[in-house]
Amino acid sequence: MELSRTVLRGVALCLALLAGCGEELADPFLPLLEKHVGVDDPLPDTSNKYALMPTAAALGKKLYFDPGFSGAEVYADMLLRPMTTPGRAAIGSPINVSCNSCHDVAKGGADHTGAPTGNTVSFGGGAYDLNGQQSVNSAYTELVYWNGRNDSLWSQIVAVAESHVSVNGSRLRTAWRIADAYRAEYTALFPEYPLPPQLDSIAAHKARLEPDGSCKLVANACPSEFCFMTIPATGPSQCMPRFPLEGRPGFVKPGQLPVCDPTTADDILQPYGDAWDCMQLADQLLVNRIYVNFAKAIAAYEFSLISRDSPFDRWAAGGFKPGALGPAAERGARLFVGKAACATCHAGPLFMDNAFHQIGVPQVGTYVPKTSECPAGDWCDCVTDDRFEPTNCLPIGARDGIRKLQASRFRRDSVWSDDEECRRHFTAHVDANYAAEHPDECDGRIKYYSMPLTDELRGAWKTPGLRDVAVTGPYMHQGMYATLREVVEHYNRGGTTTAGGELIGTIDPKIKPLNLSELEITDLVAFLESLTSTLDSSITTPPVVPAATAF
Amino acid sequence: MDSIPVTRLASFTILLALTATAAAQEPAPPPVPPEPAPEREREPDPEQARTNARMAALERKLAALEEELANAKDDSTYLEEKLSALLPLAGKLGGYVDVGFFATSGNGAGTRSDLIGLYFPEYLAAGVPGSWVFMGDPLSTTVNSRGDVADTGESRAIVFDPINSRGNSTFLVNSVNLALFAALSDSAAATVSIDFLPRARDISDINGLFAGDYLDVKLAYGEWKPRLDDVELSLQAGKFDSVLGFEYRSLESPDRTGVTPSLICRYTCGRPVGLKARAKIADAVVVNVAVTNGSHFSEGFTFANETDTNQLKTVAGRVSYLVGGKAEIGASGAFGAQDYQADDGVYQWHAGADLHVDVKDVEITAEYVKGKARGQTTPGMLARCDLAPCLAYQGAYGQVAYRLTNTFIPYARVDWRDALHESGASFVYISELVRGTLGVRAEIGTRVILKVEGTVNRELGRIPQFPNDVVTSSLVIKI
Repeated sequence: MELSRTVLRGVALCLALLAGCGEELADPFLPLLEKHVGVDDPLPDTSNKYALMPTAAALGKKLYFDPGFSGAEVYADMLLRPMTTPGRAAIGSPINVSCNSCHDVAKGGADHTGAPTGNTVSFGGGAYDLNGQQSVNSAYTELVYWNGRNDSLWSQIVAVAESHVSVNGSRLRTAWRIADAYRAEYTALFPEYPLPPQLDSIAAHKARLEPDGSCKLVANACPSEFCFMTIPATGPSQCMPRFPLEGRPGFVKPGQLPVCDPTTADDILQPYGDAWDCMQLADQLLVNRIYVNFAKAIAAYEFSLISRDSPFDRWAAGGFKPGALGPAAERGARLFVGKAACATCHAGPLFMDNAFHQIGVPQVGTYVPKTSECPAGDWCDCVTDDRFEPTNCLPIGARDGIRKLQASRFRRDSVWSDDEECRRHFTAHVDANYAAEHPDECDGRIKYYSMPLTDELRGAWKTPGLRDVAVTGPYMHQGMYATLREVVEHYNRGGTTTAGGELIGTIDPKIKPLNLSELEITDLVAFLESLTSTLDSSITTPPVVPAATAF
Repeated sequence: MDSIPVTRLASFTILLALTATAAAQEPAPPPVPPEPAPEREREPDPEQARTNARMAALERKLAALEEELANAKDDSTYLEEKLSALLPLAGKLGGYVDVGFFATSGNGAGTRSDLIGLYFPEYLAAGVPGSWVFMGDPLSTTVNSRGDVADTGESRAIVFDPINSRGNSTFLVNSVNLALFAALSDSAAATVSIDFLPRARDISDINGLFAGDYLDVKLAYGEWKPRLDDVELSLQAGKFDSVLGFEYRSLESPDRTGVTPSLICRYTCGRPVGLKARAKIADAVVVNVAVTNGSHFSEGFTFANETDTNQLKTVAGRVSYLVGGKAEIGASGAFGAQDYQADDGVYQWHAGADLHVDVKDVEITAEYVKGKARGQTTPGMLARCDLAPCLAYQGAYGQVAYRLTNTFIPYARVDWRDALHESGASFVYISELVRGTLGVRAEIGTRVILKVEGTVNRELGRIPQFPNDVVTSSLVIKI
């Protein structure tokens, strides 16, 4: 009996010891969640002094929704191969797409046009190699595009407006459309860059041209005000308009300049003949300025596309009150910053880190190129060593994008930029030491201009922000996943997939199996869905755009 | 086996007892007159008649008892035959059922994440997500003899979570053990030990890391004991007990004094696969050596693997000296290619010392271990050990048990472990803790054991305190 009491006392002692065994650590999740709160207004874009101007945004909105800048269907993919699925229009017919066609501002600024079944990349004049990224909150990204090939929104617009798989327009068409339909607004916004008098109207200009696009001679002479005699590299001189209705630079190997050579024209990359390359340099510069200003106005509109009023933001504003967001989403929030460690890359209020990662997503899909499809010397060339010679190897992600950025003529330190300090030190930007000493120059983008083209960039793509992610599917750079659940499952597997295709580069060491249960995956998806905002209708309601003029 | 003679003896005892009782009920017979009875019909003697009647009754009783005895003999013969048939099986089958109940403080996990880099900012700076920097010991909340923890929490290295209690107290069938032994000859035998583990499973969770009911083949080896004059030699092949330290000898619930293993058991209590030789020389020195696929780490720990991933095998050994049958002092070590990686140049080593004293009713056991798995890092990588995980550890425990009575054995154990386990950006475990355990073991008869113990974990160094203590129990019924 006495012994039993002794034993009971021992057990009681154990329990007493347990009672004072330390308190649970202070909830560390709240400070982590708070890191995702508070999307401030975008910082001014030093390279685009119009970025925060309401008048620029108003004009930009019209331009964003105007399909009049787009060209014709080319029915080819990024590798210039004929498409195997339906395109937007019959080959040669107008595609009539605007920026909003693939970046629907009512739905996160993402592509909801629904590519043909089985294809998850975006479609414009042809088939992209990538899934379109969202334009909402794009004002906050350091580099634009999945591979980071542009350092400003306006330079990105400059690129896509002429891409044969995207808008498939041309800078000459843009200039004429501006002159024809937006003259007053343009002139008011860009008084320092008046439209040249030769860009009067499309109808008037067409009256001056022969059916083949050359100038009608006046008294057997080439009229000097509107036209000039070209000096082609091969073939005879012609009396051509100083500002043809269509034309963009011909494709040349990266690092080279296009030359006036009508024989280089082709149906896809240079469908307007060699009109642009044969223009006089001064006139090219005038058109480039209009083209850049067009892009800057659209960028100004994109600066107004801000998603920051989601259920998550309201939950945060209420002090993360338990139950206010819903139990699943709240558990998911903890997983996001905790066990799943999503916040490691999807960091901050915008849920992105402005960095590139190889996350185990292969090059797979009908129009998603593999390196084996890019032979030496071809338009897409993954054989030639890009350390010694500029290439255009599309499948390798940021390695290709950063190289393109470093060769871009529309950078923040180019003459087209409004960032005078950045422009002034253009020649110093190849020096990594200079970049290290002046990290804030060029709005912090200077580091990319001398960034080494390392193997870590191969197969790495830019981390997208997660605001509105629930409405921006399909997901991943080639759109291989249709649902957020599939995305979370991809990460839960540690970045592995059985989808096949070509996996390029080395998977980021942070991509490891997450050990999430089905319930936890559901919770995480619920949290991601809580990041969806609805933009003010004054921003998203399509404007009335001027009627299109036939070119 | 003893019951047959007892049955027979009981039958005869009953018979004799009944006879004796009957005899005791009769008065002493009168002396018989010496002269013959006259030839004339005499008057019936009433006394004689009563005697005759009693005799007849006794004869009937005797006949009944003889019949009963015959039946008992038949039964006994039948049982003897049955038992003879079962005797070889009784030598081959064994096992136990271990049922327990436990309660933990906190969420049942032995680790917490340094989510915001508050305690170990250096790992956050090296690119390891804060939620993957674990402070504490993932195996500090063990609740049973198998070393299962109450919950693995958000652990990334040890992800198998067979209990997954989430901090809730629960009854648990810790294990149903089946032990098989087959004597192949006078000197050869085979041994198998299997745990049947009834566990919960959400069958709708296809990604669940818990298996539901499962089997654990703990031992499976053949043994040969060649007859030698001066040496007691045992050669084993298969999956056998570790050769390191002392604790491996009492891994099974009935054998283990307490409920839970020590903190360093993970390094010495594994059951590796390979070849093993044990020699006892002159009743004083024991040498135990093994060549195995991998380390002698326990399977619950992330390192142990049964099939090898590299060419270099692990060599392990222990030498011990027996002091008068009351004490044993040993030293052990292991060296080999690191588990779960392909490069033979990436190795791991282990060293340890142990002491066991058994004097009168007091049993003292102490062990110290130290070791390292070297790991491998991509040059220039901030987060170390990304190519192969690194592990550096040392630890010790001391346990005292006292047989207070034939039934009660109170015991106390103090553990200490200091370890760093890194795997690139995937995880870091920083463990530095001391653990105190108090318990009592009650042996109820020869087949039932009841154990109750409380465990208090205290984190050391920069690791903050958090609730991860355990009260657990174990009712072991030997089959």
